[in-house]
Parts: sequence; structure tokens; C-alpha cells
Amino acid sequence: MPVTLTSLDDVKFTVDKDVAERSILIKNMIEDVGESDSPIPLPNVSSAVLKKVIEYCEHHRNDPVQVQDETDDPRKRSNDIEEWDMKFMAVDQEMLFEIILAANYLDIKPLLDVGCKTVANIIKGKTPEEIRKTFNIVNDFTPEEEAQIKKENEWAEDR
Amino acid sequence: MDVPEIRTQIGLYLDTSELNACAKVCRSWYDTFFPLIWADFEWQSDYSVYPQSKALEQNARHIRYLRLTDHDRPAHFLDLCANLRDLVLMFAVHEHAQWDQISQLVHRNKKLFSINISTGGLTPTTGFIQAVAQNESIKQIEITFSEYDRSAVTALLDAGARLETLSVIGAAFEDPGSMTRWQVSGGGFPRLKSLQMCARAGITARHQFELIQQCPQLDSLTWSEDSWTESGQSFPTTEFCQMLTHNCPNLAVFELQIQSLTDKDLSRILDSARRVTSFQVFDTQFGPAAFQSLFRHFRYVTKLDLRRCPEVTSAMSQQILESCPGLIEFFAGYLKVQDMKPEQEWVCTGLTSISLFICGLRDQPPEKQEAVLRQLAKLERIESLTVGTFDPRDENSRDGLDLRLSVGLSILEPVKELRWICFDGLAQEMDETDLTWMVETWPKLCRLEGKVHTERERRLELQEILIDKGVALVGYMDDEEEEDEDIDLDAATNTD
Repeated sequence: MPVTLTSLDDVKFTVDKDVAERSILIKNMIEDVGESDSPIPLPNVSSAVLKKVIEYCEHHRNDPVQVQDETDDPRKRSNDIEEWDMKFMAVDQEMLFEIILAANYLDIKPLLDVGCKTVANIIKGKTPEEIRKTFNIVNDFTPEEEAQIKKENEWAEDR
Repeated sequence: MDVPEIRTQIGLYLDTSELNACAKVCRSWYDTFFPLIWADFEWQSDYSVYPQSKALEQNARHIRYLRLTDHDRPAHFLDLCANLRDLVLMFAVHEHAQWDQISQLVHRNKKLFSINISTGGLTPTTGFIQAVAQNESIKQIEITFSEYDRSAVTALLDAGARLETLSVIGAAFEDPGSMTRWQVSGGGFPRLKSLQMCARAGITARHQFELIQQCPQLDSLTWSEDSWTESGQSFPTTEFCQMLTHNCPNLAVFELQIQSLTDKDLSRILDSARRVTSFQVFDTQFGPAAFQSLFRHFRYVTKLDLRRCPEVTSAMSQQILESCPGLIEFFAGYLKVQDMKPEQEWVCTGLTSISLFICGLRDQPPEKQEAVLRQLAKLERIESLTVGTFDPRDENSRDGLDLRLSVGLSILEPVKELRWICFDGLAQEMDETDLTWMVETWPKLCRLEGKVHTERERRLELQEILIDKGVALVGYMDDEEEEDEDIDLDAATNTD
């Protein structure tokens, strides 16, 4: 049975129920509302981003639902992204973060994980200045604060 | 775009030095990433730089994963850790005062999830065991090489109701004959999913079996026979199979280090298990009957270890490679090139680890080796590749792969995830171009095992290329000579 989703900018997307339910938020909404034809509003997600999210959910529609794994190593690996996902995530930075925010809002954990791993891979190996340049961030520390932080965390530099 | 919640998620995939870089970017990033720097903390004697005491005291509360190894510095900050999730103790705790401090630590950390204790054979104090048993949030316990008396065992059994993982390796239990109950109060281990039962002494096979039977959710079992071979008991196959059907229907992961298991025993076990995903039966008599019983599980199996099972044939290895699509780790004896079928591709393209002596290549035309290399090249996720032989009779076998560019090595260009390659026991005549190609083509390569050349002097010359690139080299000399060499294996094995 198909489900209609409405984006922030009022664009309607019709998808199969099992695809839509990759989003736990949507799944819960459907359960609460029951059988209904009315479209589900997603005021936090623009159509461009929603289109991408739907593409992901359709590709992964048959994946087993991830169980919250409490035994996860605190240092999760970020180098095990599938090839399709890697190509999917090869978008500009703004879209990358929009996808992550949408995955967070819609509660699609696998997409959130893949998005965060992608950003982590961008960060790896960069100095603070390189990170600022990549993400267009302004350095708002005073020189004294910077020196203090460097000293306090010197021990963490080669861990 | 820059939301604290998202930054925290991203931080899960960064190591300490990367988190450190992030904390220096700007103030809002500092707020998010600074506590994460402390989240994963190890205390040992080998570091060149330590956090200042004041910083330690202020930030102990951020530590989630704490690893204490041999240390000669007092660890006052332990008294300030209250948010631990995981605790790993890897040192010989000699003093009672230290045990007290650690017991307090366990007591205080009400969100502790897992504890891993390896205290060099020294017995934990009663106070410590009780702290562990009484901390209701602990769901995973791993104990290595300690001695446990009756009260300790009773306390552990009392914790049974909430445990999800229990690992007992090399532990010795004093006088379990006096234990009147192996029954866990309140109906067994209802939540236990993963059990490693490799006690060294003092708990009979029968007692161990009684414990296993009380684990209805069990999905993973590692069992070794050290503890019962002394009494000459044999493996209780019939009861084990009945247990599989009636008590533990979810058991799918088997690691059975039990030499006395016959081909028939293994066949019966495979027949009784509903669905097997991992079967590690190193050094058993796995053979044709067990292999037949394995067929049914081919489509589920992700891990197989059939090394040192003399009845496992080359044809069996080939059949596994062409029938098990989900296989991720495969370890067996050998695969003869004659048994490889060009029209039958290996279906297990997701393999990350393989150990197989690929042989039958002596005096064969180059196309034969090229066909093998093309097959290996399809394993695009492979991280660990062992193609050597562990047969002590093979010092310099010419029957295996020849890893040189002149005979097709470049075919292996696609295996970009490769970290370890082992060709122990094989004769090689590599030169500078071959090794340079390897380190340049495989960016993650960090460990090489085997003699790169049959002549010692050439080996010494060639090893420079690897040392230059930080690739660890193991087994490159004859054993006696290698002792003098300083190889930083730890650096190479930290592949993260």
C-alpha cells in the first residue's frame, strides 16, 4: 500500500509503505494514524533532500532492521561503507549535512551512521585549520585559549 | 548544519588524536569534542606524555571506556570515575588496597556495562567479586586466568539472571565438587547470548554442560576441552544434540576446541543445529560426514575454521568457496589448483579473511597462476590473505603462489583493503620492484609474513623497503636470528 509524504516545500512523494517505514518516525506516525490516505507532512525536510532519502530507503528496502547493538566498540570503524552508499554520499557538503539532519529527524539509523562515517572520513588526518577551511568555520578562540587547550591536551596528540 | 547532537555522532568514528584536532577548531566544537577525548582512556606506563593531574581529576567523569594495564603511577583519578561503561583490567593486582580501590570503582559506577578482568593469575578479593555481582548494570563479564573459590562462583551464578555475555578463559575453580547447585536461581541464564567456556581446571564437563543447558537465548558458544580431558570423559554428543534441539535453538555460532570430536560427532551436531552461521572446529576430525551435514548451512555460514583437520580435502575447500555466498572468514588447509574450476567462480566475494595453501603450481605454465590470482582479485574486501603453508615439512615450497610482477602479481591490484599478507613456507624470489609495487598498490598494507627471498643477504636488502614504509615483517629470518631484531609488531597490529 503506498504512502504519500509531503516535503517542506509542499512537494508530494508517493512511496511503498515498507520503504517509508525505514524511517521509524514515519512508521510510528502510520501506526498512530491507522489506515488513512492522507499524506504525511514532513515540514523539516526539503524536497531535494527528501528525494535523496527516499532513494536510499528504496535501495535498502530489504536490509534487515538494525537492532540497537549495545556491544558496539566505542571506536567504531568508518572504513566499511558499501560502494553504493559511498557513491550515494558523494554530494556537496551542504547536501551531506542536510541528509544527516534528515536521517536524524526521520530516525533512519543506517543512513545517519553512513552520513556520520562519511563526515568522519573527511575530518580524519586534518589539522584544526584544515578542518575550519573545509567546513567554513571561524576560529573564535583567543590566542591564550588556544595555547591553554594545546597544553592541556598535549597527551592526546598521539593516542 | 552544525548541530551538537550530530557532532557527537560523528565523534564516535574518530580516534583520540582526531577528536583532539576537532576540539581545537572553535568553541562550539570544543564543547562537543573535548569530553569525547576522554571517553576512551588507557592508563599504562609506556606513554611519553600524560595528562596533568588536575586535568585528570576534572575530566575523569568523562571516561566511558577505561583500560588499566601495568602501571607504576598511582591512579588517584579512579576515585573520580563515575560514568564508566566499560572497564578492562589487564595487570597483576598485587595489593589489597588496589583491589579495594577497584572494588569501590565497580561499586560506584552504576552504568557499568562490561567488565574484562585479566589479572595475571592472581585471585580477585571477595569484595571485588561481590561488587561485580551486585552491580546490576553489568551485562558482560570476561575473566581470564584467575582462581575462583566457591563464594566467588556462587556470586557469579547470582549475577546470572542479567548476564548477556560470559567469558571464562583459563580460570580455575576450586573444589566445585562441593557446589551443591549449578542451578542458577530464578531459572538459569535467561539473557545469556554469548558464552565462552574455557576453564583451565576444576569444573567438569558435566557441570559445564549443566550451565549451558540453562541458556535458552544462547546464540554463540566457545567451548574448549582442557578442563575435562584429565578425567578422561568423552564429549557428551547425544546430550549436546538434544540440548541444541530442546534448550538452545538459537545457537548458531560454534567454536569447539575439542580434539576428540569425531567426524560423526560433528555431523550430528550440524544436523541438530537449526542454523549455523559460524563453525570453528580447528584441530578436530571434521571430515566427509560432517561436510555433508554442513551443506544445509551453506547459505547462512559467515565464518568457517577447518584448519588442522586432516580429513578436510582440497575439493571440500573448493566446494565451500563456490557455495557459501555469505562467507566472511574462511580458514582451511589447502586448495589444489587442479580442483579449482574456471567456470565455477567463488561466490563469497565478501570475504575479508582467508587462509588456504593454494598449491599444485610447481612447474605449471603461468596461465595457471594467473587464473588463481584473477580469482583472488575478485575478493575486493579482503584484508587478511594467507596463502602459505603451515606444514613444518615445507620450508621452501615451490608449489604455491609466486608473488612477482613478472608472473602476474599486478593482477592483485584491486584488493585495496589488504592489510596482512602471509606466504610463510613458500620460496620467493622477490625483488625491489615487486615489494615497491606491493606497498604502493595496497595502501593499507601493514604486515607481511614470510621470506621474501630464499637468500638471506637479499632478504636483508629487500626488508629496507618495507621498514621504510612502516610495514611489519614477520618470519623473514630464521627464528633464531629474528629474536635479535626489533620489530614493532604492536604498531603494525593496531590497524585502526
